[in-house]
Formats: sequence, structure tokens, C-alpha cells
Amino acid sequence: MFRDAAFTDVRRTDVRRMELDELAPAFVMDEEAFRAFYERTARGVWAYVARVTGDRQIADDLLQETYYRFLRANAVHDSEKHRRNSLYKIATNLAKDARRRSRTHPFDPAGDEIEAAAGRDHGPVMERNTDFTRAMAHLKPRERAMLWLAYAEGASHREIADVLGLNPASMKLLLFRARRKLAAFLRGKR
Amino acid sequence: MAAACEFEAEVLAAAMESRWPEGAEPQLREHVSTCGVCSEAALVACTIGGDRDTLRPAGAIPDSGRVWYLAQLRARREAIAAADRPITIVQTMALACATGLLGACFGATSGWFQATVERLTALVASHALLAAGTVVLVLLLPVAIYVAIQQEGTGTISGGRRPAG
Ligand SMILES: [Zn+2]
Repeated sequence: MFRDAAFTDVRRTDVRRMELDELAPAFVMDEEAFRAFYERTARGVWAYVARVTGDRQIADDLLQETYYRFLRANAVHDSEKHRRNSLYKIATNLAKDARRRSRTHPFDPAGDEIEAAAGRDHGPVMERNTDFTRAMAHLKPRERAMLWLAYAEGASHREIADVLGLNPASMKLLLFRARRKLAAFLRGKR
Repeated sequence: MAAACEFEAEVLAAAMESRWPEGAEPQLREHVSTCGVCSEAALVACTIGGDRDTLRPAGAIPDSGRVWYLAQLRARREAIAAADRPITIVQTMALACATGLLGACFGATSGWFQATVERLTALVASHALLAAGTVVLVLLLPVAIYVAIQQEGTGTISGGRRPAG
């Protein structure tokens, strides 16, 4: 009787495994396409999250999650731009959540300052980056996001609005204001 | 300062393509030196572009193969969790159904059950002494047997032992 029960258990496990093979979601994207897309976008996404949150550790942590959610969404995209926008939308939401969780450190440029202080061979570059980091720290996360998307990623107003969930009609003015604010901090006028 | 300038797009293109200022037209450079909108655009676009090109992650960007593998693994785990969830629901529902069925059976036969209880109560009341004796016997008999076994066991062990030598 006990042998029968054990046998039934084993058979149930096998059946379960077979079912799982069918249940495991096959991502719409295949491995080759995903890896190529990742190679093209990962550094950009990492930099975007690092600059929007002001925390490179958060960017490290969120990278895998961003791509997992992108894959799991199993969305069909009609163009590379559309695919990128989806990816940045996911990264934006994750960055927002991460920032909410660490409200005590809304923007922490310490990491960059430490690296700049360390000097390395590329001292002037780091110094410039530190000034930029400090200037960015005065901006709201949304302003940092729209500036980065516009000038690091070359996104259009419509794309920025789509990624950040903003009204496309107000993008031009919002971007202009954010740019003016950042320029003032970079020039040390604020 | 006006919110727009007709040369802004040109300045931004030069800045984002790393052509600013050296690779830009002299007239455009001259314009930017006197235009607040364009000088801001050039400053911000060049600074952000430069930062993008030099910013490096604390660790290395994970390998694409590893990211793919971990995503597959996690998707599989989530599928297992999702597959287990309906089973739990089905089991819970089955238990609820069985309980309901038992309740219904009991309800249908409760007349008989109550009559039996009443008959037993009446019997106990009419033969109180006999009932009390039975209860005492039922409670004490196992205790008496247990004590007897214990004593016998102790006797055997002590009796079995013999002083050495
Ligand atoms: Zn101008």
C-alpha cells in the first residue's frame, strides 16, 4: 500500500513537470533577438536609471528586473523605437518605486564624488561629471528623466511624454524649463 | 528669454553628434554666443552627452546570456507558483464541499441523533448508581493495569540482576 502511494506521488510529480514545461511562458522574444537587443540597450538603460535615481547601486539592482519585466510583458512591438520606449517605461516605473522606498536618499551623488576624489587617470572627466551630478541633484526626478531622454537618448517630445506618462502637448515647455534650470546650476547661477 | 529659437534644432544636432563647437558652422557659433536659448541647449546637451559617454557602472553590466538565463529561471519558478495556486484553491473548495455534505447528512439524520441522546440520558438518570460504577471502572481499570505492569516490570529487572562476583 505504501509503495503504491509513493509510486502515485512520483507519477504525479512527473505529470506536474510535464505540465510545467507547457506552462512555462515562452517569451515572445527568442534568445538571440533578446541578447542583441540587450547589447544595444543595457548600458543606456543602466545610465538612465543611475542618473534619474542618483544611485548607481539602484541602477545595478534594477537592470535585471527591467529586462525581466520587459520579457514577461510578452508585448509585440512594431519597431525598435517602440520596443525601446517600452523598456524605458518599465525602467522609469521601477526607478520611481525604488526612489519611493528610499525616500531618505532621494539623490545621493556620493558615489560619483568618491570616484572623483580618487582622481584616477581621467580626473578632469570625473570632475566635470561631479559638477553635473551636483547640478542634477537639484532637479526633480521627472526633470532629470526628461532631460536624459532628450539629450542622452535623443528621444522626441512624444516619446518622452509616452515614457514618462505626460501630456505630449506640455512636453516642450516642461523640457525647456528643466533645461533652463539645469543650465543655471551648471553655470553656478543658482 | 524666448522659449524657442529657429537655430535650436541645428545646435542640438551638432551637440548630440559631438560636432559642437569645433565641427559647427562659424555663423552658428556666432549666433549661439549671443542667443540664450541656443547657448543653454548647447551647454546641457554637451554636458549630458559627455556624462553618458563616461558614466560607468559600479560593477560590470551583466552578460546578456546570464540575464536571459535568469529571466527564464524566474519565469519557470513563477509558473510553478501559478500552477500550485489553482490546486490549493481546488483542495480548499473540495474540503468546503465535503464539510457541507457532512453537515447536510447530519441535518437529515439529526432527529435520530437527538432521540438517541435523549434515550441515553434517561437511561443514565434511571440507573445512576450503575452508571457511576461503570464510569469509575472505565477510568480506573486502565490505571490499575498500568500500575500492575509497571510493578511487574520493575520486579523482573531487579530480580534478573545478580550482584557480580
Ligand atoms: Zn538661438
